[in-house]
Amino acid sequence: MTMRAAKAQSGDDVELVQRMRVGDADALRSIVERYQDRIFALIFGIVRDRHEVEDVAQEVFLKVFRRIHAFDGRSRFYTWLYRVAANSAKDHVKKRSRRPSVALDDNAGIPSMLRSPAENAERSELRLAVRAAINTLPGRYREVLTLREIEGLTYNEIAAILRVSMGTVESRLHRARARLKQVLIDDPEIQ
Amino acid sequence: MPNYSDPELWLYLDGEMAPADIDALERDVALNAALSDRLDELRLIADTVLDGAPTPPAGFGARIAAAALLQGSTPRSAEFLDLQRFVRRALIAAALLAAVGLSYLVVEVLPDLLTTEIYAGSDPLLEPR
Repeated sequence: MTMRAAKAQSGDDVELVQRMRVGDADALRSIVERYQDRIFALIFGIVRDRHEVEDVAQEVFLKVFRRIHAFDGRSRFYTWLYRVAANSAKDHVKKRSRRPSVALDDNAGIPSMLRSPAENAERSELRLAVRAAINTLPGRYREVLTLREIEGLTYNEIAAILRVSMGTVESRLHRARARLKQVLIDDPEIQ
Repeated sequence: MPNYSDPELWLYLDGEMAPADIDALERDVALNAALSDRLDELRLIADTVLDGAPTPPAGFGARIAAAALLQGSTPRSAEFLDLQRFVRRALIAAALLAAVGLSYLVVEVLPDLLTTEIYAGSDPLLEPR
């Protein structure tokens, strides 16, 4: 779903939010179904362990339901929802024991039929290297990268979700991407 | 090759570049294969961020709704949340006051007490009045 579609949906969110305020669990289900893909992606971007995503997502949606009165309606609902999800994912990472990052699955996506097998292999290798590099980034960099890529949130929207300035968003994005690029430059296998 | 920095190219890919600059960049990209390759490389980095993200299992929404009902996770009232916030702030304020009081005791009162005990009776000039 594109950001434009999400914005169009935000009008419908108002009614669902009203229903959740009076304890309507069906409204919660509709919200979950509407946002679950993006929330899973956002949590995964920060937690980087696909086995933990579902538990954190469940916690996020239950928290949203319990604390729906804390949403004052001044921002869009999805901005608040993403903030709750990002904070929960960060808390989860903090609580998690200091074990090494879990390696991601090795499925590198569907290779393009337009490229040669050699080109596809090279791109798969590059993707694996980028993924490994993302796992080494500090959480504050991963969260901006993820919010940016989920559905093309603008720098302004990311700043509102994370409650930081737009300059901070821009500089974190730049540093995160510079690190990723550096990893690729330093990796002789990718050259 | 036109001299674009990575941050400039990222602004373009993120849709944050000024419209006038977009036109100029797109003209340069059309004429320059190396610049086009650089953009492709950056796009690949961006596309990879969400690689491997799991999809929600079927019936996830229904399960959450059921869990909310089973756990009695009813929405808390605005008054409850305000009270919770007030109590949290009051506890933080009390902890800060206690820390300041303790610091005062350690820095100001304790050394005086120790000095008085050590020297009391040994030198009449140092005795407390």
